[in-house]
Amino acid sequence: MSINAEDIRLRGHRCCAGCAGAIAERLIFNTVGKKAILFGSGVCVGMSSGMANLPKLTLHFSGNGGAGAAGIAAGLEVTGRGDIPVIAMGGDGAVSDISIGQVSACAQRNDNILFFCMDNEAYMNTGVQYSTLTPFGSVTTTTPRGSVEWKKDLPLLVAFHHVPYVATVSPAYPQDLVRKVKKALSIRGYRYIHVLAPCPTGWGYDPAKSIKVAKAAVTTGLFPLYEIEQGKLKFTVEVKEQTPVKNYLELQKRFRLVKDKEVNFIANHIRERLNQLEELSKITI
Amino acid sequence: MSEENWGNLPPCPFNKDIRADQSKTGSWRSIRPEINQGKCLKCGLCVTFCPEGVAEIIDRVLNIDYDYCKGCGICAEECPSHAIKMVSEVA
Amino acid sequence: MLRKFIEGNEAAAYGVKLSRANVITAFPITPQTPLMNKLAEMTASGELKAKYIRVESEHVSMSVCLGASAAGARPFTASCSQGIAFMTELIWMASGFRLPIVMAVVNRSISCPGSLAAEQADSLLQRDTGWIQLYCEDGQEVLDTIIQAYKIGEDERLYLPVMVCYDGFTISHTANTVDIPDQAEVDKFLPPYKHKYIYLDPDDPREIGVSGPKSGYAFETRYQMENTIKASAPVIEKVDSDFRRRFGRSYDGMVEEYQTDNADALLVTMGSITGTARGVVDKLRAKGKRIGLIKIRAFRPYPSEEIRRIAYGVKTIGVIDRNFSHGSAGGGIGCVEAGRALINMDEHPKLLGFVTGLAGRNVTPDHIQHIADRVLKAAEAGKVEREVEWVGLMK
Repeated sequence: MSINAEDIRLRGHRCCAGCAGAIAERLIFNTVGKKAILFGSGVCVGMSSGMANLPKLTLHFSGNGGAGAAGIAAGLEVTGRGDIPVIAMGGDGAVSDISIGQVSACAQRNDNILFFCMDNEAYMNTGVQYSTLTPFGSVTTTTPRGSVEWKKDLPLLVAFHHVPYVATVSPAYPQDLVRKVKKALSIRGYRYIHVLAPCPTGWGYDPAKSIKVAKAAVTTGLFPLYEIEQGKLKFTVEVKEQTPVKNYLELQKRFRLVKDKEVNFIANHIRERLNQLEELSKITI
Repeated sequence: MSEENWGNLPPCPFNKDIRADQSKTGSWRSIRPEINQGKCLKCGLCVTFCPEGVAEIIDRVLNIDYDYCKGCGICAEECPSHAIKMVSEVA
Repeated sequence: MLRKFIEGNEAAAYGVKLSRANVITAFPITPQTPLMNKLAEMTASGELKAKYIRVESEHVSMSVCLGASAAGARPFTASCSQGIAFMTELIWMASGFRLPIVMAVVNRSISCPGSLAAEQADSLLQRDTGWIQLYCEDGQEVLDTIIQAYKIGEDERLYLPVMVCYDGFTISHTANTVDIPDQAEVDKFLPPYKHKYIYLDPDDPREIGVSGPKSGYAFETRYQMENTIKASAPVIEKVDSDFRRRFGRSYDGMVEEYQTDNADALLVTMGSITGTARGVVDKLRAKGKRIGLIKIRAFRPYPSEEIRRIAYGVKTIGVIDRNFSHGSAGGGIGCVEAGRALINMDEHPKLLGFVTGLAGRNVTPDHIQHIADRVLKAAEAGKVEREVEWVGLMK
């Protein structure tokens, strides 16, 4: 597949070279098209305006959990323009930390917005500080010895609000990503897509490897790709042979302090979580 | 500085100039992608994976917009036929 | 036209309904809650056609109002006290984005120490933000002022949000006969909302806020906002006089002068205390004391010119503040503002500050009498013995 010259997402944005969040956003905006309203900003890219040639309203991080988007959706509804999609974006800091209340409430109210969490696993734009979506063993400026907590399972948390659609995507799987965005656009109500956005600057790898990292996150089982539609969980990318998590950790400087025995710890955690998801796929959430 | 010099500050704050491409980010790079058109399969993977959207296939030729290419190297890394090589940017 | 015997909150609800607000964001906080409950009933029954959103906090209620206003709706919300404090960040954004949202503030003290009852420090906390602030004396004024607030805020020369403030419990929970205008008449007075500049439309994409090529112009944008809020004063006056022509009631625009002819002494009040003060002033005038009253209706923009005009030739002014600013230059917030308005006059009255009625403490005619006595005494003596007095403390 290729993105053509009519690219909605314009060149000259101020994201780092190799930003995988930028790759994901290009795919998202080219799928969404010109008839949409954008709220908020995900990944550091949001801090530079001109991300996409769409009408846009941004509040600060504390407002990026979707409340403003819910307001836009309400305003469109009462002025007879409810067919215009409202796209909301927030980084993991905004979505999982400071504005998590809004995520929960918008989901519970089933506000008619398509919400993207652009997860680069730390507060990157302010210089790599720990967030509640930072994975175990990461070095950040506020966890200089490596973090000791597990990353929150935010997509599942949202799914338990019984919303119409939840999905996880990685820019290394563009067809899967685009298909999920298209599906989400066709549904009304609260839709949540969690985007893994590898960050060469914060994760510590050669920018050229962004797609390799985004792929390894999936093949190690750390970031499984699935969708939950009306409570039914389905894995959308089958990982035929799971790769050892050590390969993923070794790619990134942020995991340089992870000891060998902790690698097993992480591998076990991956196994447990995949089992959980397997079990969940057998019932309706 | 008088009000007339404020460069048409709108009566209320909005920006119609949503054009990020006013800053030519090509100046950021220290390495640039060099294309071997013969090896290029026109598969479009580089077009898909470029964070800047500077790779385009037009009339079966892969073009890079060097005004904006930041030299990240993803295209070279992902090219299945190794048709792209990152070389040092010349001054 | 209907006449009903209703509480202040219900009067406010009628004001919102008549203004055809179409997105209501509801989060309860005593003493605003009955207002939101009434709006819930009105929207559920279809009496008011609006989207009623049960938000999870006041921070969110203003966020949702911002989004809705930018998307072309006419939002309404209400809060006070802790809620206003929690909402602070978004209150600043509403004026910065120039979205003409109307919010009712049912003035209540902020803890701690605090209570659930009347004190004006909550809305005054936000006086720097660029919101227009109008203070009401009774339920009728609340209903009328909400309608006026939309017309003022949505004026295309302004586009500023407006707070309609009224004292918690004293106004919100006491009943008066209120005249409720006809919808058809209000429709002629208040046209549908359409922002000329700030809107979200895929056919005309705009990024809202100071950004892009103008992102270095925050200072100039603030200057622009300052000029705008100053320009709102004549709009407030005109909207009020237009309101009088159509509905037969008005509130004299920015300030009301009461018995100020040949006054040696003046009291300045804001909110429900005004009603009590009128009675005291009448009694004193009957005794031949030359004392009058200024009721401040618009606190933002501050009516400096009117205050200077009325203060001309007056010997002492006592500003009665149902608010405080710990460690201030002298007295409550109103007193400090009045001081700045008056200081550069060739001759200006002496100023006395009175802080009273905090945390809902009842302000009685006796309290006002005490204040009036002080102000008259200072007028006679030609000097101020006590700069600030807190009136009504327990013995």
